[in-house]
Formats: sequence, C-alpha cells, structure tokens
Amino acid sequence: MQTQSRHNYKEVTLLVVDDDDIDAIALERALRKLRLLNTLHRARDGLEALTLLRSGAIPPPYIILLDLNMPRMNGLEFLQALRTDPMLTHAVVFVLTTSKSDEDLVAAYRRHVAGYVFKQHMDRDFLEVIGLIEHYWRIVELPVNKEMS
Amino acid sequence: MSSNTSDIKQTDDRFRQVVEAAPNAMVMVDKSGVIEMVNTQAEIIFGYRREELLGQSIDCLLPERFRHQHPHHRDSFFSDLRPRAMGIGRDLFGRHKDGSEFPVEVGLNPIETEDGIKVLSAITDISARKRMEERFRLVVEAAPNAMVMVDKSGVIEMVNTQAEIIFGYRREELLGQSIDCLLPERFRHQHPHHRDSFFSDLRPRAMGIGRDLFGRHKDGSEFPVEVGLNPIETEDGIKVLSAITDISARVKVNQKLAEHHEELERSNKELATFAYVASHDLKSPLRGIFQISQWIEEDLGNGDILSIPSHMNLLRGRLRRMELLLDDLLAYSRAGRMEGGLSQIDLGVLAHDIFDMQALPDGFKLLTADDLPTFTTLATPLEQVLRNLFTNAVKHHDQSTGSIKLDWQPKNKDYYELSVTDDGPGIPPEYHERVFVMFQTLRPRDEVEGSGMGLALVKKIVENYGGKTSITSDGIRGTTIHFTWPVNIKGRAPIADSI
Repeated sequence: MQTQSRHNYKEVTLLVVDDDDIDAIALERALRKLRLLNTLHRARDGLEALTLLRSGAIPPPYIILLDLNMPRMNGLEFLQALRTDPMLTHAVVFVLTTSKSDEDLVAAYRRHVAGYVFKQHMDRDFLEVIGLIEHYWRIVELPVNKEMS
Repeated sequence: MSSNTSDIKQTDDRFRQVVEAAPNAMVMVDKSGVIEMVNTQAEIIFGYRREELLGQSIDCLLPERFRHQHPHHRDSFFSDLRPRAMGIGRDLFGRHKDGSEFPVEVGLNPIETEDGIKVLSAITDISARKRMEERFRLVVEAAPNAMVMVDKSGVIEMVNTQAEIIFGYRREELLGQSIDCLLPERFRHQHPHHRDSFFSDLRPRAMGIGRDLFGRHKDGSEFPVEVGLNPIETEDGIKVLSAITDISARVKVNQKLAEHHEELERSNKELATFAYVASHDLKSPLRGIFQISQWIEEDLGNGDILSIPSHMNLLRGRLRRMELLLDDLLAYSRAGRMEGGLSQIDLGVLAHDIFDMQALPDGFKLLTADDLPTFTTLATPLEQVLRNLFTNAVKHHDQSTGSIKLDWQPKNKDYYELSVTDDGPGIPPEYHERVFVMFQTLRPRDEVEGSGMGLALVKKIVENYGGKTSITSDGIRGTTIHFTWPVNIKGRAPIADSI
C-alpha cells in the first residue's frame, strides 16, 4: 500500500488546460512552493489538450486541471470529446473555473469530473487546490494505462 | 240549355265560394278596371263594405300617386295574359278607406268568363313582414361591424354604413355587384368554391379559419379582416349575412408586440451572456492582478528581485486588458444608440478615411471596388462596422503584409451587401458561429490581446438596422465577412436598453 501510493505520488503528471498565462504560472508556483516535482504540461484550449493527449505526450497516470472558458474549444466541449474518446474516457479531470453558473457545474459533473473548484478566492492562491489534488493522487489509485478502461 | 245555364250558375257559385274562403283579399276587375267581385278579406284590409266597392274603379284601392299609371299597367297585363306577380321590383301599396297606406303583394290571374277576360287579384297585406324587414335593416345598420348580405350566387343585396366606410364604396355602387369586388384578386377564384361549401353546410361560423383573410378597398389597397358568416332564411331563399371586421389595428399591434418580444428576448439573451462572461472575462484580469501582487510580495520577501520587472509587465498587461474589455463592452452596449445624423457618403472615400485613421501597420493596404456606391446613410454606425472589420483583419493576420478588400453588390431593393475580405489565416468553418458571440476569441488573449467583442459588435450594429452578417472562410487562407446594409436607413430607437 505504501509503495503503491508513493509510486503514484512520483509518477502523476498534471495537464493544465487554461488560456490564462497567470493561472498557469500560479499553478507552477504552487507546485514549487509545496516542493512537488510532478511534470506540468500546459494546453491553452480544449483542442490543444486533445492533441497533446492523443499524441501520447502526456504519460499516464495524469490528472487534468481544466478551465471552462477558453477560445476555440471550451472546457465543456473538451469534456464531451474526452468522454466519447475510448482512449481518453477514463481521464480524471478537475474543473478549475471562475464560472459560478449552476448549468456549468451540473454539465461538468454530468461529464464525470472528479471535482469542480471555483477559482474565486484569489487570496488562497492555488496552494489549497494543489494541496487537495496532491492528497487525492496520494490516496487514490489512478488508471495507469489506457487498456484499463 | 237550362241545364247548361244551371251548370254555369253552379260553377259560378263554386268559384265565388272559393274566392270567399281564400285567406287573402281577392278582388276581380274587368278589363276597364271596374270591380266585379270582392271577398271578406278584401273588405277587412281596405276598410270598405262590399257594396261600396262593387262597380267602382279599382283605383280607389290605390294611393292617388299611382293611379295615373295603373291603366297603362293593366293594359300591358291584358296584352300578355298569364298569372304573375304585380309590379316586380317595385314596392306596392294599398289604400285604406281612411286614407292610410299599407304595403302589399299582389298576384294577378287572368280569368276567362262569359263576359270576357277578367283579372282576379290576390292581395296580401305585408305590413308585418315589412316591419320585420325594416327592423332587420336597422339592426344591420346599427352593427358596429361592416355587414354585407349576399345571395347564393354572391350578389350583394344589403350593406351597412360601416361596410361603405371600410371598403370605400358608396352603397349604390355595391348593391347588385358580386361580393368578389371586396376581395383581393388573388383570392377571387377560390371564393365560389368556399361559398358553395358554406351553402352545403349551413351554420353560423367564422370564415377561413386558419387562413389570413384580406379585404380590398376601392382604392386597391388591402387590409386584414375577420369575417363571421350567418345563414339567413328569407322569402327569396337563403342569404348569407357576413360581419366583417377590419383588424388592421390589431394586426399592427400584434406585430409591434412580436417585435418588442423579439427585441426583449434578444436583449435578455445578451444580458445572460453578459452576466456569464462578466464573471470570467472581466474578473480574470482582476484575479491576475491580485495574484501578481502576491508574487511580487513573495519574491521580494525571498530576495528575488530579478523576477519583479516581468511581474510588473504582466501586471500592466492585465490593466490594459481590463481597460480594453470595459471600453469595448461600453461600445457594444451603446451600439445603435449613437447614430449621429444622416449624411451622404461615398463608401470608397469613407472606407479609405477609416483605414488611414487606424494607424495600421505599413504592410497592410485597403483595396476598394471601383464602383462603390454613394448614398445617404447613418455614417457613424457604418464607420463603426468597417473600423472593426478592418482592425480585426489586420490584428488576426499572420503575416506582416496583407491586403483587405471592400466589395459590394446590391442585394435587393432595400439592402446593399458589403463584404470585407482579408488574406489572413482564415477561420475554420466550425468556429464561424462562435466568432460572432461576444467575448469569444479564437486565440488566448495572452497571445493576441483582444476583447472578443469586434464581430459581436459588428453583428449587433448590422442587425440593429435589419441587416444580416455572415462569414465565408475555408480556414486555410482568407476570411470574408459579409453584411447587409439598408439602402434607405431609418434611425431606430432601441426598445430596451441593452447592456
């Protein structure tokens, strides 16, 4: 059990899908602050994220941190594409958004996100979120290879 | 011989009995108009005793003003002997002994007797019926709707004043005419069919349920109507009484309401979009600024001074973005409210003026069609549309040089179709709808600074004047934005203040 969780702890990759540079930098800084060495990948919209995922550039296990409001393909459209793709449908996704709309929240959970987090408390930075996700990947077993789905 | 005489006498008696028993007044006159026989009914309705009438001229039973024509009419009856109604088409009156008159109907029958041809007249007092008819006419006349009564073949027999007013004809122009003259020509051929089906199923009902009905004024103009149909049984057969209401005002009000409704829906949708994007697009620069200020604090605390200039740059960028978003949002909310005045513009000159004023990079040039029209329009909103399209084309261009082309064609008599074509990277078809939505950008703002309001603004302005926007692009090279612009523009006050 110990070794298993430590294994995940080291291996898990983060994919940030967000068009805002500041949010991406903030996540990086939060990881650094918590002395986490996980690889952080960045996509600026849903399309870019899909391309990265399908190309295999993101090694499993991974967790996707998804913004909703983005150019070209927004977060909900990305989730739709993700869940209908047999190779990607198992992906663990946390939505990080400024949208407080109930429709967005319901739509996101309907597409099976692991959690929906408001980026509204500016003072709390991304530390809390990264902290939560760190706990999550330490305790939760993540799908490792695509055949598992 | 005697038996023959008694036979004749018997026949004569029987004839007198029949006449006496008739429910109508009966009067028999000879060729010169002398009364030879009357029955009790005749005594009653004319007020004379029998002996006062026998041997008198029939003229005593006529109002004086008709007496002079009567011998003439009588002669013509004797020259063409057959049973018929007297005075078809004329109103007939009897004269009571007391001098009063009453309307009558008279049937005439020639009778051959031993002393020559006689005329037996059957006379009916139709006062009661006339009173009913008059009452009916008054009711029809007093109706608040136009009323038109037609016979089975569609000939107009009665109209009221309202009908004269809404159709613009005088009564005498309508009576005897076909009802078709009150219908737009395109409906006339179906009308006999509809009329026949009404007569085959007689019950009061609304005409043309589910269809839009129109009346035709004498001047040729049309107006929407509602028609109620009522079958009426009269002595001359079934008639149709139509009650016709001019519903122009109601239709106009409904149209207005529908327009307001549509405008409200559009404005509500805009508001909903605004509320949604405001929470993201307007807040995100603020969040960014807050975050950067924290980083500066942290980095300074750690003695990391080198990171400060880049943080400061990022911070100023967010401030500029916020300003841009607010400016464009304001422009959007005001679109259609700042119209300026009407002025005559030469579209080619106007386009070059706008292009030159934008201080766009040197590598870009504007090409305009040679025959761009000169017309009178609201220059301010048109300038706003062109300015946004030009700057958009340059901002999203992937090269340092390029050309933008303004072209046109007359779309129909009301609208020009204008188009602005660039030779930039194009927009893939799947994004064609999205680019017209406010705050939508196709590239992250950190790559191309933009509010995402440009095309939304263009669309709103164009639609404000009844035009349409569309886009053609293969997503490989070049984009054309088409929009229609009214040839004769009318300033339009927005119904609801949009955001």
